[in-house]
Amino acid sequence: MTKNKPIAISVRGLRARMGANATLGPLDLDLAVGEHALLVGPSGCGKSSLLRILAGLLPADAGVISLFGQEVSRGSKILVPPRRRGIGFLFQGGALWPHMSVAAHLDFVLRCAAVTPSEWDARRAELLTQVGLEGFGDRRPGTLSGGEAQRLALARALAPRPRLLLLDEPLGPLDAERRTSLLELFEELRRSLDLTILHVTHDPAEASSMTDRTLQMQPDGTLAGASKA
Amino acid sequence: MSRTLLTLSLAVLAVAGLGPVIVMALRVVQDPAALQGLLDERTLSLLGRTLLLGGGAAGLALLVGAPFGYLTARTDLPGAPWLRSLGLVPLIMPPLLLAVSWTVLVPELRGAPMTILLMGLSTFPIVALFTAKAARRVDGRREEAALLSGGLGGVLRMEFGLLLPAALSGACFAFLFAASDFAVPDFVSSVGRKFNVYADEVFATWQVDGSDSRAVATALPLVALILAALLPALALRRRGTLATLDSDFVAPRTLSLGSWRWPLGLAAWGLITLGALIPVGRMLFEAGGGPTGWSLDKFQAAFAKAVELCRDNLLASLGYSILAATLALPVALVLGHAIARWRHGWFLEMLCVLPLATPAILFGIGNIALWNGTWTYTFYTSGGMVVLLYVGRFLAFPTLVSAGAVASLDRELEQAAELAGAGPVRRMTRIVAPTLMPSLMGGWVLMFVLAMRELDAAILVPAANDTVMFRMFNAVHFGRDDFVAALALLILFVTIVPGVLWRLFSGKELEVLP
Repeated sequence: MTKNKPIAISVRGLRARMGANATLGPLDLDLAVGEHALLVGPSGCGKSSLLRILAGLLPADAGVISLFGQEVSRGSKILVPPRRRGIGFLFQGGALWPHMSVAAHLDFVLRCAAVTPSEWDARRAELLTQVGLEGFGDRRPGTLSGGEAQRLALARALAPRPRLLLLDEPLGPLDAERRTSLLELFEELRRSLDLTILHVTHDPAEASSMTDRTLQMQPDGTLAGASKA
Repeated sequence: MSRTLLTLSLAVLAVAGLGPVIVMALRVVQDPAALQGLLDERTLSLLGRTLLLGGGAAGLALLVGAPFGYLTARTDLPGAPWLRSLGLVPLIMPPLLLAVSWTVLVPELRGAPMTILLMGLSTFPIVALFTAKAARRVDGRREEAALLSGGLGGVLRMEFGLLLPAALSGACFAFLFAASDFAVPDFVSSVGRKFNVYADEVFATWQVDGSDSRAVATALPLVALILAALLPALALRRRGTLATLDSDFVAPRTLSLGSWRWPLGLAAWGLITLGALIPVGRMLFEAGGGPTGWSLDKFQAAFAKAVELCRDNLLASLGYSILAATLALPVALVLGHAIARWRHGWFLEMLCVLPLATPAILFGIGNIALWNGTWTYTFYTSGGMVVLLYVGRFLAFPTLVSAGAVASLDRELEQAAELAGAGPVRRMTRIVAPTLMPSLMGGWVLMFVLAMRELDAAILVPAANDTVMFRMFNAVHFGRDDFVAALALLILFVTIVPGVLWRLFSGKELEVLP
């Protein structure tokens, strides 16, 4: 962890059931503001579940989660709902809305974020430039390539100006060239927007060169160095 | 999920659907003596006949519907797209109209065989729809592996187990429709050999002694029968048509039937001829004068007369059905979403289908018991009563359609909107509803069609006396002429219009499976 920096994510004693037999945790985790951490581990160990719990999309069974110093969940109780946590989430498959154009995706989020309509055009253009999708405003998700779709998902995640970006296997469907390009974009955005990034992957080689730290999850749902009680 | 929306939707379900059922159940609790004679010889005989009707119709629907659905969805059958569309006609057509046509074409065939044949013809499209949907969800690579090892026979053997739950689910729904139908057994039995079934008996019991509790007690075995068909239908539908597709799903390609293409094509067209073309053709023939000599002038005159005499009835039915379908749609979306997403959604699903498990006649009596009071009399005698009855009776269908569609919707689409800051109402209206539009429209059309052809419950409610199906029911019992045939065709035409318009303007297929 980067020293002397405030904490972005603090997890203490987190436990959660995942299906009939598997459990996540117990685990503790600290991530400093501006840090880009890679979370790796075998399939089914609970990496994606951990991201969803951090985002408030899944409840935990025990433990305390704080984001930027604010306690957002305690045990199974969600104290701050997902939309108030200041989180951008990049889903594995993009989770784009098939009935909306690229511009409509961003407008939807800007409206939810209470951005005034007069600012929409400028903000939308800014986001599309940031992710390299200028001129794609009228396109629908079905007409985008895998890389373009992930860039749109990234623009959508960035639209409400989050402080924390959670990436769930964001490079999965892409070829090597597009992977590198997207990774460079993550890094560039982290620097320019002072983002904290927690990046989940099952491939340790995927982004290790661009991240500050690699966290290893074990098959039993704990982080390396910890063990089941 | 918005608690306010869910509470409002549950309130609609409670008032329109569960209220009449609960009122009727309370009648038996208050008058246990009505249960006497529940298992006497006559009741058991009725139970046997209803089982024969439901089982026979469901069996026939399964026998012809499953192959028809598979062949038209997946193979190079001649005219498959036409067959898929025409195959819906027997389902859309009120069963009474089928009965009107076939009883005059084959007058010597009456009683049980004719009733079973008619209800089988009317319900085989349900089995076909379920089978077709499941057949389109077989992964293409799986099928190619079977094709390489065993040819078309290998494919069919491999897919039999995959399609069977869906086909059986459809057959259970066919049983439900057949066992609770009142108008067809009543009409077929109006001449010649009687074939009384439970729905008739419940109606007769209530008409003769006016006792709600006796009617409910009489209906209890029928409720048990229908529930016995409904529960497996719901369970099997989850394993069949609603089975989740893998994210890397490969759509199967069209299978070549080879030398079987034309014989099977003829068989499929033969089935459509029996279920749709002959009944419609017969009505066209009768509307133009029929046996006394067909002419275009007579045909036009019959339609002019039908429009003139029944314009108000048609408009009333249209108004009630459109209102009921439109009111039910948002309620169905919210309830369907809760069924699909809640951990205990199955309980809500059971509550939603309870009005369906209640025989239509009994549901009508329940509405009378609930609303025919001093304080509610104005409402009871208004069109609002008919709309409420339709919503209560059929809400389960669009709800199940919505639940199935939500179940197959990637949950992450909603989660992405939630993280973007969208509240439950905005997620529902901007993400879920537009993404599921073909299913929502399918639910609307299904509800509209069922409401347009509804007679079994509405026949008891005075406010529904101005519906076109009530007019038709009376007309066929008092004689057969060109007017009746023209009216039947008008009803059919009006009923199919919304589905045809959607298909034409959206270019998408409707998802109408419950």
